[in-house]
This record gives sequence, structure tokens and C-alpha cells, in this order.
Amino acid sequence: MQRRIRWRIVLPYLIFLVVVVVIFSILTFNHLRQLDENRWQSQIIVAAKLLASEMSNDTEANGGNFFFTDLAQQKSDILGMNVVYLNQDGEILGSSSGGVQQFSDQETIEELLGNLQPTGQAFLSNDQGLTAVAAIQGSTNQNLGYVLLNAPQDMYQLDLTRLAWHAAAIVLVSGFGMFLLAGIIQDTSIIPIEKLTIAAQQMTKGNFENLEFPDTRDELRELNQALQAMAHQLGIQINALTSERAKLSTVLNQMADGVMIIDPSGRVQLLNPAAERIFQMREKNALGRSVVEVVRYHQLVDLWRETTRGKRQSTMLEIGPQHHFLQVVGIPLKTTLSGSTLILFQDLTQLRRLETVRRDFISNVSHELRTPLASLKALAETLQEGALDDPPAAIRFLLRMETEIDNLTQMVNELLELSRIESGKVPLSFQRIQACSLLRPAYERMILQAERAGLEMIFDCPPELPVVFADPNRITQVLINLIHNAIKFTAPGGKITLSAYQEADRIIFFVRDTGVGIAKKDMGRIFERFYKADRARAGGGTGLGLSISRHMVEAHGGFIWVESEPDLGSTFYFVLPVA
Amino acid sequence: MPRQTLDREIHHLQDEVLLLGSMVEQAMLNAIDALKRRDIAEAHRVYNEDELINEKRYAIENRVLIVFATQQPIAHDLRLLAAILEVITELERMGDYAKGIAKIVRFIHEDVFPFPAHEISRMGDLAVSMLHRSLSAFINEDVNMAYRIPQEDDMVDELYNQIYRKNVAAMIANPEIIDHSNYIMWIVHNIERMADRVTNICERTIFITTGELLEIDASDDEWADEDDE
Repeated sequence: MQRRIRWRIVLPYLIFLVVVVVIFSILTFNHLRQLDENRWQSQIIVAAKLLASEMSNDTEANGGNFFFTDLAQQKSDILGMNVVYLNQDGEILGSSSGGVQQFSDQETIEELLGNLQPTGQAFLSNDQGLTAVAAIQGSTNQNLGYVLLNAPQDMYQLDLTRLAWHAAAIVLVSGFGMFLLAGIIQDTSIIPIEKLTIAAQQMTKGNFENLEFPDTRDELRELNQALQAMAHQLGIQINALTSERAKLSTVLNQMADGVMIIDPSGRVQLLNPAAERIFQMREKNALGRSVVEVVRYHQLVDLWRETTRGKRQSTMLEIGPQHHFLQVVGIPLKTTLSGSTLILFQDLTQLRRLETVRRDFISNVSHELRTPLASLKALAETLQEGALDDPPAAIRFLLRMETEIDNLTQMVNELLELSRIESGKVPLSFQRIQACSLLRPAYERMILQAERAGLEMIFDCPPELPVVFADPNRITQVLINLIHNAIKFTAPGGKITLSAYQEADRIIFFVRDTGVGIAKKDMGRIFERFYKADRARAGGGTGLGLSISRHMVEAHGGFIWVESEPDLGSTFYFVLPVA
Repeated sequence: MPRQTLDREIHHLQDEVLLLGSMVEQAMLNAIDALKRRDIAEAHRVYNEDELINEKRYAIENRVLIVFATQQPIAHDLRLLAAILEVITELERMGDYAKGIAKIVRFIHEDVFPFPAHEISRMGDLAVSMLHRSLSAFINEDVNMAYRIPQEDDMVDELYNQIYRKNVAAMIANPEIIDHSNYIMWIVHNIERMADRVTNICERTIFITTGELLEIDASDDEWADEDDE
């Protein structure tokens, strides 16, 4: 980037410089040559004239008998040029050694003589060099002959190599200077622009902080300031938008209700995680697909189609093999996303289950209360209708009534207890106690009952178990409930085991019987209030025991569960943390 | 321009096939639900709503024929449209199975005999889930999935056999329930047939992309095909 710009500045100037220097040099060369030639011309003419005038005097005195060749050679040695003597007709009388072959063709000589000036001289510059002719005149101005002087090209031509070298040196030096100058221009003009460019690129990437702006005081300053202001403003606005978006998307992601937005052409535009769960499809797979492909549920599609006609729709649906029970609301979006539809899904599966539990509970309570009340009513009526007159019978009836009332009282007490535990109002008196010491009292209180029912009861607790933190009375109550159930559901000859073991930092207590076991469908519900797996057999109980036990264990920070195999027996486990 | 019209039509038809599929899935789940709860009103509803499934099937068929006539599709489009014709036929038949179950519920809803509700319900969920995913594969032209789904048919068959053995044992123990058990077998058979038909949808999916019509596992088709009214 930097290098390229530097060269882009230097190169045109350099080319321009070279052209200028070359043109200038050529013009200067020619001019110098011309000047030089002119000087030679006048000199050579003068020399020819001198020789001619010398010859004319000598010819007058001598009668014209000369050794012209020797003479020419002698003059040539002095002048350093070719010297040729010609007669009136231009024929060569004698010549210095250099001139013989040069002028043997006569052509130059004829041309020169043809150009002879009235003053008796002629000059010619051609490829044979510079040549001058001067007429040798006698005292009466008659023409006696001619003297020809010739300077070959290599003799007078100027050597311009040095000049050329100088020109090249100038180009080099100024080129280098330009390169340095370009660097300075770059630093002061280009680099700030580059910095602005980088800052703009960073902004495109969404980075509005820690941008590097150049420090300029020239024309770029306003652009620089404008860009800085823009970055600042954009940064603020984008931050505001981002946090707004984050809030909205947090709400969308965390809300329990499913949300879906469908565009006017029926394609899904938004699917929040709750809706992802309901339709078992990731949002990225759902976006842009048709609503039918995503929800795959015709009643929902019907609802959507109704909603697109502009009216809010609402319905209850149970969908899919997962049996999700949904309240669906379709809302046409009019102002913000015109033509789109918002669909809300409220998952009521859990609520509906609770509703069922509540309904069952009320019907159970009424049922449980009605049975003893009905028999009380019957006993009271019997007494009214004359049984009072039969004291032994009356006493028997009264005893039966007392039993029924005891049952009722026990049930009401248990219900109260349960509601108190459930609302967390039962105070627990925690203490540190060895695990087996928790099991022992329950065992001792139930052993007689178990033996009466023809069952073997085994107490098997490793004494090295650590200490737990619990309310012994409450835990004993839990264990008695469990043992009570075990006795009730185990045929004579069966076995009940009471034991505990350690697993990591918790103690697991269990009561195992060899009774009738629990059917799979009942396993999930036996801890519910009033739930009785086998009504015929459990008739005696209130159906609250296990529910109370569960709450009690949970109040201790533990939990309770059951494992069972029909006809083989059940094991109830509960866990307490080690103190 | 015509290309866009064709694409739009095909997309619409695919959506309609999914809707038809969803109606069939729901009919089957509702029929089994009616059976479990011995809910005669629900059974009636399923029985009557089969008419809607049939209507939708004919509407789709009509539309496909119109596309054939006006757009003259070739190659992939032609195969896809032909496959849609086949798939909607399968779906309509599955709807008939749901209707068949609803019909039986009307006969037996007053019986008090126990029946393997849990297994039937699992079988129904499995078959419906297979149908659901096979239609996904059909629309997405997912050949891998289309090859995998028919293998789950074994689980359905296994459940079928379990229920069959239980029923036979129950009939031997108590001849009074022979009628009832027979009805239950019909119901279970309907579900089993539905799962078999899912295989046909998968074959069509493979046909769309490869152009090859192949039979994916015909192991238990021989004796069951006769009862396709």
C-alpha cells in the first residue's frame, strides 16, 4: 500500500524529468555542434586563404615550378589537415597523404569550384568533413590554381560523452530526491488518509471504540472531525440498539411461552427457544420455511390462516405424540410488521396435570369422608330406631361409632399435618444422631405388629454408619409409615428388611418387603395424596401416609423413591445427607 | 415465469401433503386416545372427520392433475408430483385405519375387560412418529432418513407380537373375552398396517431423488395386503 503510493507519485515525475533532460541535452548537443562547426568553418577558410595568398606570391616569384606533393605534405603537417593543390581546371597537382584518395573522385572538388564566391573561396560540409577552397591569384588577379583544405570529421567533432554522463547523473540525483520527497508527502498526506480508511473499516465491522484517528491540521481536518463525530454517534446509537435487542432477545429466549412470527407469504420469521422445544425444530432450520413444514399440525395452520384474515384467534390444542397441551393465540400484526402474524403458545401441560391432581384430591377427600360419615349416620339411625332399648347392642354400636370417629379424626389430623408440612409450618428439631439409632425405634415399635401378621422383620444396620442431622421423631414416623405399608401389602410368611447404607456423603435408608409389588402405571403417583394403588387392599388407610412421608423427607433435604417388581415386592428408599 | 409458477405450485402441494399427514397423525392419535378412555364421542368425531381427510386427498389429487396439464413438468418435478399422488393415496388409507379403530371403539366402549392399553398406545406413538418423520424426509428429500425409518417397523412388529401373545393367553384363560380380544387384535393390526405403509412413503422419497423404484423390506407385506379394502 505505502510503497505503491510512493511509486505512483515518483514515477510520472521521473518519466517527465527524463524526457525533459533528454530533449534539453539533444538541443544543447546540436547547438554546441553548430557553434563548433561555424568556428571551424571560418578558421578553415582563413587558413585556405592564407595558403593561397602565400602560393600566389611564391608563384609570381618562382614561375610556378614546385614540388606540390612535398609542399602539401609540409603544410598538412603544420595544420593537421589535408592539404591539396589544384590547377586552374581543378586537377590535383599535389596532395598531402590523407587527401589523395579522398579527393580522387573529383566530385567534391567540382561541387566546391562550382560554388566559388566572387572573393575566391568556397566551403562545403559533407561526409568527408569540412572542406574549404581558396583561389590562388596572380598579381593581375588571374586564376593560377586552388588550395583545398580538408578537416575530416573525426578531427573536429566534439566529444559529448561527458555531457551525456552529466545529464544521466542529474536524472539519477533528482529521481532520488523525488523519492525522498514522495516519502514526506506520503507521511503528511497519505498516511492520515490511510488511518481514516482503517477507522472507517473498523466501523463497518462494528467496532466504535479505540479507533485510531490521524492528527492532521490540513484539509483533512474537517473530514477527520466529521468521521470522529460520526463514530461517536453511531457507537452510542448502536450500543443503545444492541442493549435493547439484548433485552428483547433475553425475554424471548427465557420466556416459557412459545413465540412464532410468520410473514405474509407464510414463512417462519422467528421461533423462540420455547417454541423450538414444542415443535422440536431449531430456529435456524425453521427460518424461511413454510409454517406448515415447521408446525406440522393442521389445526394450528387453520388458526394461522384465520388470523391472516385480520382477527385475533385463540384455541386450545393437544399436539403430537408428546401430548403437549397448548393454549394458542394468533395475533395479526398490523402496524409494525404489516401482514405478519404473531402466534403465542402457552404450554398448559403441567397446569392441566395439576388441575387433574386437584380434582382427584377433592373427589378423594369427599369420598374418604363420606364412607365413615355414612356408617355413622347408619349407626345413629339404628340407635334411634330402637337399638337404644337393647343396651348390649347399643354399646356395641357406640363402640363402632367411636372407631369411625377415631378414623375420621385421624384422617383430619393427617390432612392438617400434611397441609402444615406442605406449607412449611412444622418445626423440625434437628439433632446429630447415628443413622442406626434412627432405624431402631421404628423397628421396635413395629416388630409386634409384623409378627402378628405372620411376617419376619429383619433389622440389618451396619453400626459404623456415620452421624446424620435429622429430627428423630419425624424420621421414625416416616419409617413407621413405610413399615406399616409393607405389613399391609405382604402376605403371611413374607419378609420385611430394615436397613441403611452409605453412598458418598449421604445415607440411604430402605424398607424392603416381599409383598405384591406396585404396577408400573402406579409408581409415579403413589406419593400423591389419597392415591391408592389397590383400593380393595388399602381400604383401611387414609392414602396420606406416603404423601406425608415424602414431605417429611424433603423437609430434611432428602428425597424418597420406590423400586418395585409386581408379585416380587417393593423397596422404598429415602436419602438423608451425612451431618 | 412458468418456472416460478411451477415452483410455487409444488411448494403449495408439499404443504398440503404435510397438512394431510398431520390430519392423519391426529386422527390416529385421537382414535387410540378414544380407545384408551373408552370415549365414544371422540370415536365418533374421528370416524366423521375421515371425510375431511378424503376430501383433502381428492383436492390435492385434482391440483396435481391440473399442474400436469398446464405445466408439463419433466424429470425431478414430474417424479415429485407422481410421488405426491402416491403418498396422498397412502395417507388416505392410513386415515381409513384410524377410522377403522374409531369404528371398533364404538363396538367395545362398554366392555370392561382389560386390554394392553399401554402397549397399544406405544405402538400408535411409534407409528405416528414414523409417519411424521417419513413426511419430513419426503419434503426434504432426505434419502438417508428414508432408508432408516422403515427399519423401525421391526419395533412395531415386536409390539404387535407381544400384544398378540397376551391376547391369545387372555382368550385361553377367559373365553368370555374372545370377542373383545378379537376387536383389540383388529385395532392393533390397523396400527401395524399403518407403520407398513410408512415404508411406501419412504420408497417414494428415494424415487424422487434417484428415479429408482425399489422395495425397501417387504418382509411382512405378503399376508397383510389382502385387507386393504
